Amino acid sequence: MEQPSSFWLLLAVFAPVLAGLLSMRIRPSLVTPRVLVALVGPVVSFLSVLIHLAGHGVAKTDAATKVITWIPSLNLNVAFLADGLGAFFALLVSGIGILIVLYARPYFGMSKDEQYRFYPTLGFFTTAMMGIVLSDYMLLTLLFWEMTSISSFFLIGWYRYEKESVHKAMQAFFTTGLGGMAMLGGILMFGSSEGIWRWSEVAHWHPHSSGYVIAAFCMMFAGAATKSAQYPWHYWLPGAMVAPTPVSTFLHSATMVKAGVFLVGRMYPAFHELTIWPWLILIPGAITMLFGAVTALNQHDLKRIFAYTTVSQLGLLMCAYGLGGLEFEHGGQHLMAIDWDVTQIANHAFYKAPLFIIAGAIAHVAGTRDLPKLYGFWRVNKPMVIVMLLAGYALAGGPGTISFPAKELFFYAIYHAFEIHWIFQVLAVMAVLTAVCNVAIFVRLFTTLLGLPFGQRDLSFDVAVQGQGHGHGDGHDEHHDVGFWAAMLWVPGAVLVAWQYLGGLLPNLWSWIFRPLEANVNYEGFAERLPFVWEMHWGIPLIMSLCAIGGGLVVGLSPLMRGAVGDVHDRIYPFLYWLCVHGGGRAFRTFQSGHFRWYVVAVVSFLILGFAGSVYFEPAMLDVHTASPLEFWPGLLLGIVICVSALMLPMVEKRVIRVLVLGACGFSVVGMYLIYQAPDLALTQLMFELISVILFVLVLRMLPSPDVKKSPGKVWRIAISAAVGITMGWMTLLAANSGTPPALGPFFEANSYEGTEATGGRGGGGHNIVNVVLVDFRGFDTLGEITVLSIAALGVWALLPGRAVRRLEEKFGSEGGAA
Amino acid sequence: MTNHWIILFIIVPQVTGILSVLLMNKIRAQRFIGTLSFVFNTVFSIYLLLEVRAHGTIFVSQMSDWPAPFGISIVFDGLSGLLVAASSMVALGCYIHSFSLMHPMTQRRYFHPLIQLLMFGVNLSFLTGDLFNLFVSFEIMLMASYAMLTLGAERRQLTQAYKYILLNLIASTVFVIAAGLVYGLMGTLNMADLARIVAEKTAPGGEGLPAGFTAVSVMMLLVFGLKGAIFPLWFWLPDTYYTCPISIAAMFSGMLTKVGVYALARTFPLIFAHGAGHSMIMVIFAISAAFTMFLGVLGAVSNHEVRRILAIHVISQVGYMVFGIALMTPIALAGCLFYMIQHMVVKSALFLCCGIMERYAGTDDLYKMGGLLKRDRLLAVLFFVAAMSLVGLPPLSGFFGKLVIIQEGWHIHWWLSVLGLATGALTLLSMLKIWSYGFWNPPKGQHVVVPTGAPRPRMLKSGYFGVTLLVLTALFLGFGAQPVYDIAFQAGEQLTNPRAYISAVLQYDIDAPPHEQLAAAEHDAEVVDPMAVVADEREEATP
Repeated sequence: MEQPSSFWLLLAVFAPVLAGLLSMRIRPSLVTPRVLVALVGPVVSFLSVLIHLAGHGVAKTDAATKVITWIPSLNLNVAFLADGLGAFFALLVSGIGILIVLYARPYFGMSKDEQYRFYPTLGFFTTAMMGIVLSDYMLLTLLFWEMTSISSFFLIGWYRYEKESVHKAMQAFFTTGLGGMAMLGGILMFGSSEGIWRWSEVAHWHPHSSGYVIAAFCMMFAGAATKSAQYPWHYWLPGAMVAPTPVSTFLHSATMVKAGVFLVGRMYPAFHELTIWPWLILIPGAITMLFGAVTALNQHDLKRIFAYTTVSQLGLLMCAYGLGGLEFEHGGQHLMAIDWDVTQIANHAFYKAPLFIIAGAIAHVAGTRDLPKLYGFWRVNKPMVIVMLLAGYALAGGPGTISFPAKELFFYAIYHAFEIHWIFQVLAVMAVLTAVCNVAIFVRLFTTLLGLPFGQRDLSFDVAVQGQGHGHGDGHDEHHDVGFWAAMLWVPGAVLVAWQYLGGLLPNLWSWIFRPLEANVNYEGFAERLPFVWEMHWGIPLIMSLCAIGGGLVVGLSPLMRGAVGDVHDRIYPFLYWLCVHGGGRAFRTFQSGHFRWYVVAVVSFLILGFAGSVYFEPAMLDVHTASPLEFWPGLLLGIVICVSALMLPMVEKRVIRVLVLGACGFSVVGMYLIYQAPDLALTQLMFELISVILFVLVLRMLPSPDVKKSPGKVWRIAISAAVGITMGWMTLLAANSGTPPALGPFFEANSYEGTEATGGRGGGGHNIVNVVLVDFRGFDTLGEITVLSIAALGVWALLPGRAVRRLEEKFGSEGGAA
Repeated sequence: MTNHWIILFIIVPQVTGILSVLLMNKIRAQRFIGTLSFVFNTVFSIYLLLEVRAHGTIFVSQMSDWPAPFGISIVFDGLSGLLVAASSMVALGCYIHSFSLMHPMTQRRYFHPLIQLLMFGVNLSFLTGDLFNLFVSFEIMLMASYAMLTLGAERRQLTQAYKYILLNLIASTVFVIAAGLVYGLMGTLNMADLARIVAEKTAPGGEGLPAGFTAVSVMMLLVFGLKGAIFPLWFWLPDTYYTCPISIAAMFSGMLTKVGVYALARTFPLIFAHGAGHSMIMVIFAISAAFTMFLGVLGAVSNHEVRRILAIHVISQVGYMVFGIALMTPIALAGCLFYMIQHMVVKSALFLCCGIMERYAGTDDLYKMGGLLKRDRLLAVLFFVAAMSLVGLPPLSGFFGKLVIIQEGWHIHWWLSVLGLATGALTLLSMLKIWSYGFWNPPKGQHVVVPTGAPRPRMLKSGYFGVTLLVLTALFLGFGAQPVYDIAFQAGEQLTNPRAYISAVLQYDIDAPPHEQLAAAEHDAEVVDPMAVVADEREEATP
């Protein structure tokens, strides 16, 4: 089969960022043209995906597009995979992207700076997100994955000169970054042990549960879990609500946070047969689901309410995939407990994004997002309340929305799981409780916004009076639009929520659109299309739904759980930060103590321990076959003199005497050279010793006398010195007696004056071999040594403030301030 | 393949340095020839690298034309070539940056000659094929760096530099002793010759390495490890970059440690990680990598002065490189090499950014900074790209270095890979810390400390130019990782299987050794220069 070209998908991925960058070229005062240019990006993306799909249909999971080579040796190339899941997400991202561009315009008003910054960043994010969902190479997915983290960082830290925003942005980036690292590790482990680097290759892979595969899966899931705000890493998502609402809508409800769910969906074909699959995903997923729902009920801020319901819903989506790892028997068939997963994801996007859009719109109009203060907001702005309640009804999973069958399907999956283990009854209870909370939240919204009895009400605030003056609690400028752009505050929400009712009331149409995108359609009764409301089977799942609705009504109207509570998990990141900064700093400073003596001791100890290790691994080191040193008594005598003078050095206090002792040591070495018949060396050494002793004495005379502090002579310090000395001596002995013929000496000897055959007759032309070695054979070393000396001279000269320097100093000022 | 032009990498900076001393009072002329020298080195090394990439060539030049191992060999292969190219580029960036960021007084204190001579040392240590010559080049580098650290001659500079030089002197002493021991034990100092002898002696049926070889290896590990700032030898590093002029700090942070790591990467796979102590050396590497990576990043994240964060981060990243060496597979060594060059570029870029930040904020203390983004958007962009490269987010350069090392790590030291990933996350945290406190947050510290006569911020052009140059290089290393990796993989292969290296340096074909020729190379009396033999044959063939 011929592979489809990557062109359209490449265009779909990169159009948003290009359009965003292009919008920066437009003068800041021209707001509307900027919006139109920015709009081109997601529109082109959306159309390109459609064109690709029209040309090639929805791809099978192993049918990637043609490869564009990039870094083949690291298994990172460009190829796309527009299978059901990927294509759906691509359309979702670009589609909502279009609406957000429109929505952001009235939201930010005419604020030129913010418009200027917003569209490029948004374009960057859209590109990253499109990349995640379409990439075929795993590392390419990771690349875009981290790009979403970066763009999310910039968008959460939108109000960048406010500490709160900055803090939350860091928190989100660090948390998702941590997951990103784990994901990188997982991809690398899976790729290097199985040789699979593309999602499309997974289709031909025979799953097996070796240690590497399990570890790789766990790490990749960790990446998904942090991105999709799974407990206990969910804290960053409510924190991210400091971002402007268009951002919260797009990134933190509809698309980016679903990247984790998407990744699990991508991994599903590969890993769902692992035993660990359901448990690893279900346990955090179920906790997230219930925890998010209950916390959401206990909030007042609209954005926080919806943030926690998002957390909850992400938990539910994870659970849906987690259950997909279970196999149940139905009518003689073995089926996986997963069905219509894309619809499940779409459902959430189609009500959560409108909720956020309207929350932002309300804040824009009323100047507050506090639910009790919005009591009776209906009187202020009717379209917004209508859209919000329609979306809220979907949140509650009411019949007539796509949410209802979606929840039903989820309950079915749990119900089927009963067959496998009783523990899933606990999950059923959790799911029902979650649904109860969702219904209750809808009831609260309904009663409060419409100003009905049982609604939440802040008596000190009347939105109809105080809110009408267009408050600006959401950080936008003073400008307010009328007409088209004013409507754009709520119309995007209406467009999205319409899908909910389209699916709920016309399931045939929904099925026609979404059936091609669904890869997992297992249950009887749902095979070709979703059922109408009245076609629901009477059974445990339906009873669960009814329980949820009943319970939700009761909780929603009751006075229970109406306060705004904090989340204890908000302390996780500050704690981690504290641990790194204080704990880590402490660990580092124990080592880097600032005491110079300790540094030297550590370095020398390293050497000694290394020697000890070498002796252990190479005991042969201890045998040296050498003549007794006693055979040559002049050498012995001089050796003793050298040792004694060396020992005296640290004991003598006066500096001049020290220099003299050092000289004695040196002259004994000269003697040593002499008796071993190296007169040239002896001569050199003699010169050196003479000059150095004279210079030292002359210079020391001029220095002020030091205040000698007698440091306590510790035994261990002597021991360390002795150990170093002895090992060095021993090593010298070993090297001298190794019996290896030196290869260089004879060559130098043969060629120092006249050449031999080996050198083509070229000789060094000198009778003194040492000289020839220094200036010819190894003259290059000498060049280096000369350079060292010159640099030393330059350095010393630079340190000394000469007349010229002082003159310059007058001209330019001293250097202190410039460093 | 013999190519005597490679000596230009050493001669050009040296001659330029001497000329600069002569042109002491003509700053513009010094800058001009200095820039020219670095540009030449960069361009020439890239030109040669293209050749290396295409044909796997190893360029060799025998000093004074004495055949190896009797003279000194200068070798330009993938490993040294990439490092020379990267360090020349970094030197160029830092040098240009210094024009406006360094106090004119300091510049007049022989900064221009010293930087050239430093590069002489750095290039020589990458290129030399001789163990003793490596010592000499270390000395050149040490002397030049010491002189540069004390430029400005402030009291605190002198005290910090004192620690630096003393610890490095210990290393030098050990190095010279160890080099002597190597000669005593093995009879030669040429690295290729040593590699050949080690390979022969450790081959099945070989006589084994002489006793004491492991101890010498440990000494070498100490020497190179101290230069490369690995655990537990990094003490000199964190304080060294704190006091000197920022352009110099940037250059040192990029290069000095890399020379040490380079020496580890060159000599250990070739020579010292063999014999009885092999397992011990490898364990030391692994443990050291773990502590270097993790303790380093903890130290960095706990600080709140930009210079300190960046300086201590050098340690952490050296840990990744040592991790690559600890695995010692061809691929991991290639990753290590890639990581080295990208880190040189990125770390220097960050330091250069820090220099400009200091100019704006008047301090490098994060708690006294804020809102720099308002001040300068370009600086923010440059810093962010460099910082994320350091963290290793794809597709920036750090990612591709880390990627290969961690991937190789899973199957050898999985725990090191886990630590490497954790280190990555903490690196992210520390970079976000600089970004958040420095560029975001409520603006403060907006006064500019400009001493009389020093350039004003609007004249920071050359500073920006330097940073931009390095950031663009870093971007190239990220997006164009493939051609770089082509060379790096070659280099990694050559380190673990050094036949090509040995034959290129010793200039005979090791794969088809006429036994007489081998014997001739060993037995001094009958040494025959293969090139001469070839020439003779050619003469005979053409009557």
